[in-house]
Amino acid sequence: MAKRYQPPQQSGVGQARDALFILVLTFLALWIPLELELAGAEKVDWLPGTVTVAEAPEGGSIVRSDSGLAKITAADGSVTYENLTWENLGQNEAMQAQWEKLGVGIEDAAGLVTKRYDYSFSWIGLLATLAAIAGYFIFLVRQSDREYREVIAEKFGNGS
Amino acid sequence: MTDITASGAKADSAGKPSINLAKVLGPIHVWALGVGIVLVGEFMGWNLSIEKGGALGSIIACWIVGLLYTCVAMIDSEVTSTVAAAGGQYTQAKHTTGPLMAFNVGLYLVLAYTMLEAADIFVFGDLVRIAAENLGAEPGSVDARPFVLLAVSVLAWLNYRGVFMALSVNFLITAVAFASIVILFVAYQFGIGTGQDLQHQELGMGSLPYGWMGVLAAFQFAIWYYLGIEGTCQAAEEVRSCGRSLPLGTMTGMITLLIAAALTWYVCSGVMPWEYLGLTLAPLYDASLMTGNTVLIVLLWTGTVFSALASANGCINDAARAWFSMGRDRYLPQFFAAVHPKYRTPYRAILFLIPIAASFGFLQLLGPVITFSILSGLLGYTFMPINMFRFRSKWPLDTIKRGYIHPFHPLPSIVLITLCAATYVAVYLGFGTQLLAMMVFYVVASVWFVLFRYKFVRRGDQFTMAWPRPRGY
Repeated sequence: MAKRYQPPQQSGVGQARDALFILVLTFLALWIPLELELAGAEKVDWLPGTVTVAEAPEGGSIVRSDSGLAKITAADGSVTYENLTWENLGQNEAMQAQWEKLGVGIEDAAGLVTKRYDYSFSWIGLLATLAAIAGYFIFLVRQSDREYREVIAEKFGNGS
Repeated sequence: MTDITASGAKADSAGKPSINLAKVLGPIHVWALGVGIVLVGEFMGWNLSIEKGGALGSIIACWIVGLLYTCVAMIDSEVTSTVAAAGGQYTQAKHTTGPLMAFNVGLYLVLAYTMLEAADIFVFGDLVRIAAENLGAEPGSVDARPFVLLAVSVLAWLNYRGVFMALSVNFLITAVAFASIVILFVAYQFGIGTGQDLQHQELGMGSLPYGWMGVLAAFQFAIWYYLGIEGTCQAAEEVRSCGRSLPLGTMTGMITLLIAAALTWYVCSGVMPWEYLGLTLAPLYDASLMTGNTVLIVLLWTGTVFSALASANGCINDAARAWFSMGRDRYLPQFFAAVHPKYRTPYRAILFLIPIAASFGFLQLLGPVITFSILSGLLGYTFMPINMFRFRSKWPLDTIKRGYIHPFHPLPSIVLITLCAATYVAVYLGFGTQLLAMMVFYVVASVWFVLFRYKFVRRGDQFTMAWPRPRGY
């Protein structure tokens, strides 16, 4: 039988410090992406049909669809539309009726319909992230295995 | 073949036997715990998958992620019906993989449930505000925080007072919430009091606005349909018949959730444009509002509130058991390992975690909180195939008696690891930076454990099962 390991006793202060450490670490993991404004995926302007993008005369951008619908985003972020109709937004009669039932007007609906995710991504970034996750699990399994052997040796004795 | 005498109980430092958690639960409590935690996901959150991939993309992701969870439930049922001790996957990790992995799995569980509880609290507050405004209050004039504090205090008391009552209440309110989904579906499907038909075709639900990339991206929030069903394992030490109750409660819970998810998607996508549905807070409640039928509106508001409370209640239960188990094994301060002498609940762990969840709920960080919960859950699911392979290789089927043996091994483990990898890609597409921040968090916590915490752990005490020596060790 392996010699039984006797752990040290932890003081009350030490216990409080350890609980606090995990708490602070959790808050940091939540807040750092927020502080860096990196949480969440980006949405970009989108209109039905074939689209052209141009710069607005006083800064900002104009996104124009071949249907005539245009979304104009000013430099201060405010948005206006030209030729805004349900049809130009790609919304049929049934969709229009449901928007109205929900109490959402055409301007507000346009704000939702004309924003879409951009799923373009970097393969290198993706592979690096997956490698980081794999590396983390490999580290866990290997280090755990070392500790596990100590557990088994103490529980069942050395040798099988 | 060795039979099992499961016990997480230990003697204290003076050699006196510790007080154990009470063995009082049956299959309905296991069902209430699993479904109770998760069902809120049908009332809010799942629809973010529609924002990611459109309505059709969401239901495809729902089915595929349902397969992921079926694999989770199969693996969990086998290992937990054999490792019958509080802590669920955490305790499994101690026996199959080792202390550091167990510490990480314990943290996944605590954070997944605590963050989910925070989201529940946030949603409950919003529902109170919405109801007040629908009843005529000035928009923005209602402070929901006192109601939230009251609800959290009642749930804390229930959990403190005893697991049997806490999960019996969960059974009742979860059943009402589930029934509200079924009733709304029946009302819409047969046109009873809804004043409108479902219009999937007309609302363009057959299209994929982002193509198959959107389906992949939708995996991240499709997890919300089921996140937490694996929490049934936390009840392992408190069920009367672990080998029967856990597989029965977990698998019937999974079937309930698959039905609820399909009905929810079917109703909501048949009445709302997907661009709206992807962003609304409470889609089922919105679907009831569109009927103008007071009975349905009150029923769905009640169902949504009950689902949020049931989820918070189950999360308090599960997070506290995982935290308690880690304290008992000294992975965390031993202070948290106390069992109430009268009610036999892990009362210190319960009381410690509730203010933390409430504070995150009040901070209104819903997006990051949900993502933290999902990612912690996902890391836990990634551990499960590792767990299964090690369990079967260390103790093949003929060496110990299992309460349940899952079929088709190793297929579920291979499917699970593949789907986990796909979900990491989905999270990377939406929350890549937060994914990396989470990995940094777990790496730092792991290094801290190895350097500063492991020295407090009694080595031999980490193995509590009456099993033979594992093969290869």
